Amino acid sequence: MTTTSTTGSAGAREFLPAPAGPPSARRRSPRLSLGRRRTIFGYALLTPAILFVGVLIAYPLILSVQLSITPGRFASLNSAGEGITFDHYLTVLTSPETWASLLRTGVYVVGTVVPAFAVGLAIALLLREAFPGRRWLRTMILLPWAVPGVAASAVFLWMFDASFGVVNKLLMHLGLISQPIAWYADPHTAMFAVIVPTAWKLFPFFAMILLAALQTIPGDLYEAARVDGAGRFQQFVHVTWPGVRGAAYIALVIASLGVYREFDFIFPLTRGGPNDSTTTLAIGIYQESFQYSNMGFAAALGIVSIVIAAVFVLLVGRERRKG
Amino acid sequence: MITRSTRGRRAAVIGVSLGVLTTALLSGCSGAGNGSGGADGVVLEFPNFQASEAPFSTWWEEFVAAFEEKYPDVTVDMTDSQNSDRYQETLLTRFAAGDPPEIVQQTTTNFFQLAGADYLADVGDLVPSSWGPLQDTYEWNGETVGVMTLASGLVLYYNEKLLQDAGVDVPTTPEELVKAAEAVYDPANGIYGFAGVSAPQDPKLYNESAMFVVGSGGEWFDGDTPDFTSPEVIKGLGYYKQALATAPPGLQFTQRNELFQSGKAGFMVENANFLGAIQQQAPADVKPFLKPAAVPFPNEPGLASVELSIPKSLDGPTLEAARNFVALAVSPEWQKRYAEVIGAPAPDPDSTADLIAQNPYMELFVQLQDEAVSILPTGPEVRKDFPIYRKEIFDSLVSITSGAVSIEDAMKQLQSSTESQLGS
Amino acid sequence: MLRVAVSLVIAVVAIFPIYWMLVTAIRPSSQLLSPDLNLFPDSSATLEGFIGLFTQNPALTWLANSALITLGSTALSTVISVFAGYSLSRFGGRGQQVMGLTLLMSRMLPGSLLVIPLYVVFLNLGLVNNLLALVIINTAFIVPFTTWMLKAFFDGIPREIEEAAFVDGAGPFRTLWTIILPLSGPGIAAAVTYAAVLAWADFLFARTLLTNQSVWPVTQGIASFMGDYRTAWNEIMALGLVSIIPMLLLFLVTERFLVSSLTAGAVKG
Repeated sequence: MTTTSTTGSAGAREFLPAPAGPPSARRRSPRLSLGRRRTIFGYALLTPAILFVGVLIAYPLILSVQLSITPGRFASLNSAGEGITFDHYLTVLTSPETWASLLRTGVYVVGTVVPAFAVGLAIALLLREAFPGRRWLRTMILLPWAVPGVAASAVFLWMFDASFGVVNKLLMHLGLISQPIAWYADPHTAMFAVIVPTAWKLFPFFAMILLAALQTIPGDLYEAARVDGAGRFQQFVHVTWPGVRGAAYIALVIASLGVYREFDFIFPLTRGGPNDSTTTLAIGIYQESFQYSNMGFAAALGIVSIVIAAVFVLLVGRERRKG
Repeated sequence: MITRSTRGRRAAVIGVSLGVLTTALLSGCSGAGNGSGGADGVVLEFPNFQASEAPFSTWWEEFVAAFEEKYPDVTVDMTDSQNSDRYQETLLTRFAAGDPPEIVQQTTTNFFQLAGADYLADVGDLVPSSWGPLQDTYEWNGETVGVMTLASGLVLYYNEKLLQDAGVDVPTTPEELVKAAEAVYDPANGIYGFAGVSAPQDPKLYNESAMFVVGSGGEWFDGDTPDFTSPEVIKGLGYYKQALATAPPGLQFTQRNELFQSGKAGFMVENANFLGAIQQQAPADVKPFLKPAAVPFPNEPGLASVELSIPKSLDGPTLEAARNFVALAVSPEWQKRYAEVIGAPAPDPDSTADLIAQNPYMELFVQLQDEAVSILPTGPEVRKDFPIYRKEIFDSLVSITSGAVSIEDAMKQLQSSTESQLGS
Repeated sequence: MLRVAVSLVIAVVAIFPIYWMLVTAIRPSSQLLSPDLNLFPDSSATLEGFIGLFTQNPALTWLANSALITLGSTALSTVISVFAGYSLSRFGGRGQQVMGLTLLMSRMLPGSLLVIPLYVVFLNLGLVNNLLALVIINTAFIVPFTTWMLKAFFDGIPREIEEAAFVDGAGPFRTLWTIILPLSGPGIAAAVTYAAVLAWADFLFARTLLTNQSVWPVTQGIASFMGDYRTAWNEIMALGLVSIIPMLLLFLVTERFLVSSLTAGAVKG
């Protein structure tokens, strides 16, 4: 294959349109060996990233661990490191509230990710082939992702408003309900009313990734399948799904983790209420930290939630490697 | 061919220079820094959530200007905050990080948190002895660690026109209140009776329900003992539930204010200074009909809702400046001005002496403030964990008004769960 | 035909909240709290909401702050992750595991636990209430994901291209600069878009580190409306709408890159 002529500016070398030469054809530079230089270069490129990310992510983690083993209720920065206790972890693990929150978190994550994934996949399948208006649709479905979470909270708070929101008005107008539903004030509906905005913001993410993955599946595979007499469903199972599975798993993990720690969606809408019905782990950590001033407990709860997330990721990884 | 490479490279160059430029710009772009005193004198950082809220803002501007004039080497860095969860979060974060603002303004619920964490300094000697019992709210462990700036008896606001149209008089008993609310209630036309909040965890849930409960002679806690199942509480909640049936479901307090001020609700409950807000914000055709009255209950509920504190960690000239700040704020001259500006009694009982003639309702407000019984708990254990109990009370209230649980059952449950929490 | 119909339905559902923002923003205040359905804007449409928004709040300042933060975060994170992604793609090794770990970590840390530590860090750097702090912290949380994206992208550029350069004795940096970068348009566009969306939408870091209203980004502005003494829905929705527009414009420009760049093999001969 030929390299494109890349000389567009002055002082550039002339590149020989040559096939790749064996490594032994490389000149050795007089100073450091090229190989060595490359390694250093490689690390140098990586350093800023590691620096930034490492410091700013590691420090909070370390501090949280410290706070979680510091005795006392109002453990603060000053008291962090004075004494060690596992009481906080004990309280976290034995409190029924923790497990209830975990359950709710599970409901929230599954309830959001599964529909978003399904819709995303459907859209990806839809957009795979050209049809009139495809470009428009592609841009439109990305819009929810572009809306800042806070703005989305605001509009859904308004749409689901019990007395003046458009959802209730529509439902009543269509005769589906006779009384307005207090979406965010009724423990039975609050979780649903919190899942909807989250899923709305999430499905473009899946659509994007799945569409990209779908486009890497060579058309010949489908041809072959069709020649073999496979129907649409079988084509999906044997050609489509294996092609997107890798990307799908990664997307699912990343999305799930994101929803797992989601706070800025739920809190403005319900503050974790009513009756704790939308208190996920993330909300619980916030409440313990900032509303009940229970820093040590909150830190321990946080660490526990990270461990749970890590276990989840490991399990999915194992599942993926099996297939 | 040429285009792509130069374009790509150009893009890279642009990108990097943009980044560098922005970074340089940004390092110059900072909001007001922290109140570290410079070489030329003390800076008092004061996040103020009333800084742009009329009419309080007027008083604060005047006061700060006068303070700086009186103490020329002190600067007050008053920043416009917002009373919200985020504000409380920020305060807690700053205290935990060892960087508190020099003047701390809080609502009472949040006050309990900082007081309980032992962050606040003793300011007992700054509080005038003439001040009423609502000031006791800010005592902690035998010290006075806060000075009240807003305290009021609760007031019943009503829409005279809606009442007249429905053929009812201003209620003077709980039964009359419920009847009047029901008479006014006309949801098909968007008119509601008692505009009570029912959004989960809405802070006004506490005040409104307390009107019914404390008004009827009950209390959530008797010291550190929960008293949810007393007959007065149950009776009060009965009226509360009936009144709330005439409110829009899931109402938040901001919507509540909007609803009442636009003339779409018959009644609401708020502090005395809300009258000023009505006069500022209500449309001209509704305003004349919105009037205050005494709450139609045998007892008058009230509360101290906003306070000022000083962090314990201050010392030296900064501490002195902060104390001077508070001392000036509680001085009779400024208390009088405060009452004048907000149209309601200031904490100082003498603040309204000259205003009664001008403001037709001032006498009512003064009376209500004098009679007020605090709706906030007094027991130290309860106050320490007040956010938790408050949340549980809210949850109970919401399940009562939604009809999920009967009042008796809800209170029994609350009683037993609170007892076990307090006992442990 | 079926496709068009289904797409229409999906488009409507996807867009409806944004549409509703628009409808509410142009509704007069007096009509907001009414029991009527009013699905469509009518002749009473007004700019009250926008006027009220901009005259009573420093909304323009908020937007400017958001813009500065986003520009800075995007530029910085893109540069860092181009380097890091290229490094991981070509030089592999331990770095990959570390970056993978940080990617996961950044997603698993509960936001509430970040508040106090980050405040302490930036307090010590003297950057509280400074937009630079937001650039730095946004970058830290964007880099793991964009590095991963760019690594995948660079994986799709055959190594033969660089081999040819090495044959000629070009150092690794020159190779990156003169060969790889010009070909990286789609990948960089994707990284830029992702970074911009994230930085623009950030609320957690802003509310932790920017307490002074004059440095608020638009997200804090919106949040402040949701607890204000008067909830003027038309003003909130106006602000929400305005906050979407820059992202919309960005999308129109880069959306085709977003999808194609996630596909391996972006080099066209």
